[in-house]
Amino acid sequence: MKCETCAKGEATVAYTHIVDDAKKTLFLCEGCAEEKNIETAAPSEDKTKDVPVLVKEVKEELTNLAGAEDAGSASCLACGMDYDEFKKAGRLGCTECYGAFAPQLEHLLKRIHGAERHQGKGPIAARSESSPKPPSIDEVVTTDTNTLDQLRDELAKAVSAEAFEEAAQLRDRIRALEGGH
Amino acid sequence: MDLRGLGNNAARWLNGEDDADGMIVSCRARLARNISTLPFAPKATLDDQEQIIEQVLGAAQQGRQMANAAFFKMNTLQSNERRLLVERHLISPALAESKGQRGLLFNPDESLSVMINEEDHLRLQAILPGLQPMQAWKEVNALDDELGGLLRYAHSEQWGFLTACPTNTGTGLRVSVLIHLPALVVTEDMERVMRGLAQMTFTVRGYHGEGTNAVGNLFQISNQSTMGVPEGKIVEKLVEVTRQIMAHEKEAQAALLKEAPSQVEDKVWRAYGLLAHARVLSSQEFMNLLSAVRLGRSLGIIEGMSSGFINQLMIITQPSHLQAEAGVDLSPEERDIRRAEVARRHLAELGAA
Repeated sequence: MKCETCAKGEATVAYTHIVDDAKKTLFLCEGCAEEKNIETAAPSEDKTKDVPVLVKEVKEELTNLAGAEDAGSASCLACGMDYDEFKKAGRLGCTECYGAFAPQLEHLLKRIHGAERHQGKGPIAARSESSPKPPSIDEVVTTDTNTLDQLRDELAKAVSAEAFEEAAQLRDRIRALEGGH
Repeated sequence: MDLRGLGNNAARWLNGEDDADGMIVSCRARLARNISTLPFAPKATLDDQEQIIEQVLGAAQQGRQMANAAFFKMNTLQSNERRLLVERHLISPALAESKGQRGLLFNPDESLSVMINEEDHLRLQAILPGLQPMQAWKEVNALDDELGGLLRYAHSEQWGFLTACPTNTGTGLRVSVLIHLPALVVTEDMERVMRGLAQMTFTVRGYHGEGTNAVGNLFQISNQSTMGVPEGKIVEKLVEVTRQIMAHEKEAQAALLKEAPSQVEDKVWRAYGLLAHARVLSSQEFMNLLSAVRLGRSLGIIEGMSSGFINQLMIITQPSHLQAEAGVDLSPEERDIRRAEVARRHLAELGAA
């Protein structure tokens, strides 16, 4: 087929565009396509194109939610991420963030997945060889850091069990201990 | 293992098995997992990242699935080596470009792999040839059982596995097929198919790039949501959706053949002729020619050529593969010449036409 613009070159580019609300396809040679600035790019080595569209949608969703909920002030005590930061990045900072932003995430997850609860595989109970070894003398530097680590551990467990009241209490104790340093 | 030799490795996912009338190149299942006691990617320090790598490697060494796996730290690789891994579908472009402590673990036939410190601490992947996503899910699930028995995953009763991005929360499962849809592209029915898919919470993307202008008429179909439906059901649904699209493609192929049999045959053999004799081939032109040849094989116009041959050719002609084979840096122009050489050599060896 000859190019529909110059009628000389071999048409190798199908250019579909909208003219007066109607879809029109022009068959062009590469020269004419280039003149019209039509992209005939090779396999994308462009990294931005591999970013899932969903991430963009999440960010939009987050922005919309922000108006409805007074979430701007919420922040995660474990990793320090605040809600604004999450909104910008679209990524959470740690396991505990799921507890810290639970009310907002509940809406968000429902919007993304159309579901409120996970169904399917659960975690495998950790085998004995994976359980942490008893702390060595070196690791037990001060009682304070040890308790703090324990509390953080408990906080993680409380969050994953969705015992948010308990988590809040643990968080306050962690805060008090950290303040003492 | 030397990464330069990897380009010639016979990756299992390229072997052309279960290709469903030549339409399905490959399928994959990936799971996103995080270790509950360490910060997720946005907050992880280099020290955290090293701990994560250590824990994952420790767990992998205790299990069977990754007993013969190769491990690479990204910051010890050249950029071309990292791109080679991207072309082989072992790592994401994001992992290839990111800084910090990041790693990749993969088994000898490249069917099972774990990206460490990508968006999540672990991204487990099983990639297989053809339309067997259930098998891919089973294989990645077995690896997950093994690692999950040794690592403490971030998980909640209500929301399932907790991931850095809420779009992966729940099962953490993304399952996909790489499908060749030349006739639907020609008949301009792709848009309709894509809209239909979106309603079924599945999504189509071009193999490279986005939208309907996919290079080489290759598309990736995958599940959009990861929570609320058990893993097995997600995979079943993907297979169902894929079969529907395959039926549409078959109809479109039949219509094309009925309307213009000589033109279709001509297009296929011209493509074959160019691949067999051209001296310069850009990657876009190559992919389009290979698509026509793949269609010709599906329609029985070209005989004596396997899907595995086409898949392998598609990978070894990608930029970093050409570069790795040459052993020196190539300009895009030089690559186009080498691409034509490789295509010519392989078709001559096949001895058809």
